[in-house]
Amino acid sequence: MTNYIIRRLLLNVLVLWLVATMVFLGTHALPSDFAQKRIASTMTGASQTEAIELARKELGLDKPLWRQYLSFMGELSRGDLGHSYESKLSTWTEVGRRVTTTLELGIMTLLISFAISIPIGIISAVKQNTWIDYLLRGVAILGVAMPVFVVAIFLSLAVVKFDLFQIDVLGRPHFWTDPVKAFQLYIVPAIAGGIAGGAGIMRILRSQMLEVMRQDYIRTARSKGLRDDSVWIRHALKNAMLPVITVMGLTISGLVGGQIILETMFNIDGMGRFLFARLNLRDFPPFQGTVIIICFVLVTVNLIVDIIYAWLDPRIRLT
Amino acid sequence: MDQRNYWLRKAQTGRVTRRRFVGGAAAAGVGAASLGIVGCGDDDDSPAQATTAPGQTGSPAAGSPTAAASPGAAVVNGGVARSVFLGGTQFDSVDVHRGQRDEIGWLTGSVLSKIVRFSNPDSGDLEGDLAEKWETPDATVYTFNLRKGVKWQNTPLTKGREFTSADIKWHIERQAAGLLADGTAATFRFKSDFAGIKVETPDDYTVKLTLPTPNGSFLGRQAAFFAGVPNREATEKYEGSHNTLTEEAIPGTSGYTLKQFRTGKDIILQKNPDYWDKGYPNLDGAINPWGLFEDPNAYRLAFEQKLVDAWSSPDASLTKKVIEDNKTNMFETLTGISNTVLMHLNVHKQFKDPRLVKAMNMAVDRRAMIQAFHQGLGQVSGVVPWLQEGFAIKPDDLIKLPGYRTDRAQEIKEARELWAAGGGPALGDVDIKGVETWTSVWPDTYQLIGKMFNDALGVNQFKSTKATYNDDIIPNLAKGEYPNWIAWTNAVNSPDPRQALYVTFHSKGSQNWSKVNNPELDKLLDQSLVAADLTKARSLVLDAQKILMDNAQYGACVLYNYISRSARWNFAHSPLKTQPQAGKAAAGYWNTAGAHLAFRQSYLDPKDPSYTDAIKSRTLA
Amino acid sequence: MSQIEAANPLAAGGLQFERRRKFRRAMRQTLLMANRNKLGAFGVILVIFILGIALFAPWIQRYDDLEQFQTANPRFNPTANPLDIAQDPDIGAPFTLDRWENPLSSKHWLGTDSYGRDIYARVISGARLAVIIGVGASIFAVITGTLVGLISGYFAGKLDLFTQRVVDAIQAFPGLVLLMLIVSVMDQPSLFLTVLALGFLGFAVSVRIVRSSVLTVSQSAFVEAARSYGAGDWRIMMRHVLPNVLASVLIVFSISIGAYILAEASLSFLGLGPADKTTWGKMVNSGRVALDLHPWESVISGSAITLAVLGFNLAGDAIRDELDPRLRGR
Repeated sequence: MTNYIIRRLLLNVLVLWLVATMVFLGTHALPSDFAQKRIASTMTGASQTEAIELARKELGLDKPLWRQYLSFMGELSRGDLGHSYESKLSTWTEVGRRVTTTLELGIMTLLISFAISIPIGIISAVKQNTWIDYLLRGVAILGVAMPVFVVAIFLSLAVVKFDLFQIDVLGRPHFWTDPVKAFQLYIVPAIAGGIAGGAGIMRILRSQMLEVMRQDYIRTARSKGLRDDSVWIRHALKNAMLPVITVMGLTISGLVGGQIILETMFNIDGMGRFLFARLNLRDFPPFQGTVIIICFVLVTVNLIVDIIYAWLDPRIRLT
Repeated sequence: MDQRNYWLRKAQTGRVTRRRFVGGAAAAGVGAASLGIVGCGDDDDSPAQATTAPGQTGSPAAGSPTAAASPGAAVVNGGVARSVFLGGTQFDSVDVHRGQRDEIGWLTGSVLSKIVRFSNPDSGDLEGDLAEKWETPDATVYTFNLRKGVKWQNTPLTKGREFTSADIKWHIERQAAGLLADGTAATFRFKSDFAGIKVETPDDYTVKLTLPTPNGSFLGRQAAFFAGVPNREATEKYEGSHNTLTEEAIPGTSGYTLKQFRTGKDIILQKNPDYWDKGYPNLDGAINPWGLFEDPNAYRLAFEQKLVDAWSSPDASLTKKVIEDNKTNMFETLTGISNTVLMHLNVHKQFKDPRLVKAMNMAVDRRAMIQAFHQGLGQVSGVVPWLQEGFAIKPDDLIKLPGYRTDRAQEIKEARELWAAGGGPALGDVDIKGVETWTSVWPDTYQLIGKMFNDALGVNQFKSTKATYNDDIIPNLAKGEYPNWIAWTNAVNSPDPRQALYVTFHSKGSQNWSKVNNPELDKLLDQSLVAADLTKARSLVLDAQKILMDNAQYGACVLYNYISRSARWNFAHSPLKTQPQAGKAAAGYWNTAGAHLAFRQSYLDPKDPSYTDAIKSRTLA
Repeated sequence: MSQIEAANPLAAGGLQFERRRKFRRAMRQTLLMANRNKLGAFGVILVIFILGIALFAPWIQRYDDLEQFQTANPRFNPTANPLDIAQDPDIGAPFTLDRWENPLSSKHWLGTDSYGRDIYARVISGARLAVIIGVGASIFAVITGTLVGLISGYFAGKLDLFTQRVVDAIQAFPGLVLLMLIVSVMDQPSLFLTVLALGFLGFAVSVRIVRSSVLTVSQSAFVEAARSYGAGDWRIMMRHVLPNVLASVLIVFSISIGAYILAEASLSFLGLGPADKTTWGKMVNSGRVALDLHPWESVISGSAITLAVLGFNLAGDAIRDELDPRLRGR
């Protein structure tokens, strides 16, 4: 087990290095001149060409690519993710302010997607090839295929129309400061995101359940005379959930995309909206920094999931 | 129309003193005033000196804009307004002398005082702000007696010191020199306004300005958008980082102080306890939420749930529908947008040949754009927009000029001939940029604009892509390396267009991006500024416009001005030109010229049925 | 099998008979398959339908997707006072745009949008864009992914280890974030860039699936045999390994087309889609401003996205199930 963890850790370090390299290549090697323009815009007096030349110097873009790469990696290894052009705050500060908000919405979305997908996945597997299975699968496929913002708009307009509760798009409620307001703000985007995420989980859960049910031990359990629901829950679901855990990482990664859109739509000041706003303002250092942080987190989540999985299912460690 | 013009009528009835003549001439255009005149004929006949005696709170004096949706409602002090009053939340500079974007104009409009201000932005009446009184014997020498006891907001930099004549001296001399404290040159908006002015300060409360030539437009210009007097210590300290938002950079003297920039959240204004005009503003503070424009969904949700007091949809018909659905609790306002929609062609690069500029001026379909983007709520504008009605080319004449004719087929025919003659097809790809603040409201602009030009000129070389004010346009204006773009410009910031025309088209103008150098035009513009006689000034401006229109406005083609329809909750009173009545919408003042009124005189009415406890519990924290 | 048949010296008539027999067999198999997998059959029909629309778009879209329909305005007064225009916007215009017309009129089958453009024409031309984006990105992903997966899986060792980490790194990015990164650093969003960015996203998936198939195939006896008679690596890869992983390639190709179409909608939502093209994503986005009053534009284009994604997903699932039942549910 220890060997496995060490091996995985080393591989992940390699992956993180590659992630950072890709961000570097994306922002330094491609023909982008936004950062230069950005700096150049602060320079008065010089012509645009001169200003851009000066900006290139200031950004170190006149140096050979490998030198830039080394200094980029150097800063990264010291944990320096740059400062915002706009607010002059460090990326860490900016992200630190928003991470809890994103987690609140993210966790709520994840919970909702589980609440939707697990029962539906089970029912759909148990009632395989009946009308209810087709219906639920149809709904799930629709859920995957519908853009998340369409769902969100309809839900929010319904809330306003029927005056159900107030979606406080201006306040910044947290669950520990104002749980009611926070719930009301997050519930609509969480449902919209949860439908999209849950539909994917449901499909995997269903197929895993079906596969598990074909296994010998289920047949044994049934032949022992156990009642059907007890077999489903105690044996089939437990085993079918394992692969579902492994796709958690993917689900979370998918949620991040939804978060960007939903946070923007509901004016929720989380990392997703921050990312989008930085991109719009061409405020690149915090944009890159946030991307790197998100990737680091996701890689780590995947690592933990894999370790748990390996711990639960020793066969994995051998492959 | 002339009969309705406030200034002309005043002149005819002979009720004008010499001093007021100069002051009034500065503001002759009626502009969006026309929005409110019909059905409310004597609106602008009331005494223009809308002063409020110090210490007097309560309803504003007669003749000043009444701030109530329901006539007779008492003004209430206190409360926190929340709306998108800064336009957006992107700033190119916190130095009002150098800023180009509207945001800094709005913000300083509430934080900084001006030398004089408009008491009625639409008729152009002026009243004292920092100056209590002023004298001008001949429109060359202006003597201002400053108000005593005006204090700078107390910050570590200003230490709450008194505002003195030295502040105005610096304000004018800095802009005239166009230099930063360290001696580097920078782009100053009003540089050419102050060129050659001698500033004398006999004592702390007297400023004597001697202009090189008489200028009837000078006073009104001091009340314009962007004309606030900033604090010297703070401005000089933050010169190097003027494009970074900090509260410390803008200490004020006006009704509000800038309490906080909270990037990503909001911008907070707080009532200034030391404001000289006691009793104002009515509100304890005002909050501009950050970036609600980033998403129309969030903006609408916020309004419909009374999280913000006012709202305007990019689709004016939607605003109308929402108001109709909530008739009892909302009212509609129509405001002439002083932001002129402009097509700016770079005459230094692709559009060197004047024939091409002329072709483009005819190819652009002004009326179709008004339909597409504003659902018809707008009217074509010449180089002097209809907002500055007293000076603008009369509509009957305007529609005979190229680019404004109603015979679209004729326009297209001539445009194509000029395009071919000027070597247009050889230009290859022509990119007419959509500026990102505009395209985020109307994302289809790129497709519509590309198609409009391709169809009109019968070519396939036009496209439209994204540009930003901060990166692509503003820094390159002075350098002559700006892209071609269509979006707003804030050229109209005072009812008198003369100084703005000078700045934009005179060879010595400080915002003359097209580098126009036409001696005949220069002469007319010079003369128009000197002219003390309004009729003379108007005819000179018309002559100047003739040259400008003949040259397709040298590439800075004004397209149109539109009318913004917005919805307000009944509890949120703002100064209005006319109240809503009998199914008719309320008329607002020009947005830029009347900005300070909204900041000063808005109030929230707790007795209104639409008022809720949530509004009451708003805080500035 | 095909070699055997080609070698069969049948007379012309026999060949024809053979062909007919093959056709009938194929039909029978297809029907059986469709019966076995009804959802899949439905998906395939949808896909054929959408491909048909995309292919024949210029002939069936009736109008240009950018044409703004207008009605001449007899009340037009070119010198109207802005005051009067404010109360009655129609008088200032020589024409009024036919905005937000309801669907099911003979002129505008699906109504018009906020700019008076025919929604039917736009949806149809959007179908072509959706196919270009979906299939284009998929082709890009499959070609690059197969090549890299093939090399990586075949040579294994350190190269493989490295390639796998690159793939891990790409997959470590949330899809939309990676798209934003790619699209943002280029000068302007364009169709080509969108396709490229989506394809890059799919590249990682392709490499992963192709490589795992290659790993299995490389161990098989016939590859060993080919090696033993001295065939070059390139030749073995192309002649022996590739044909045997084509099933996986086909799966990869078909399975993500729907996801690309959906991702374009998200990009367009963020204003990062191809600015000069009419895409479904852009339509959903531009219709959403007044969704409760004029739902048609968003609902119709949203349904188009949903149907297309549904079709491509179901068809992709069906192809996968037929070709490689082991991958079911993955």
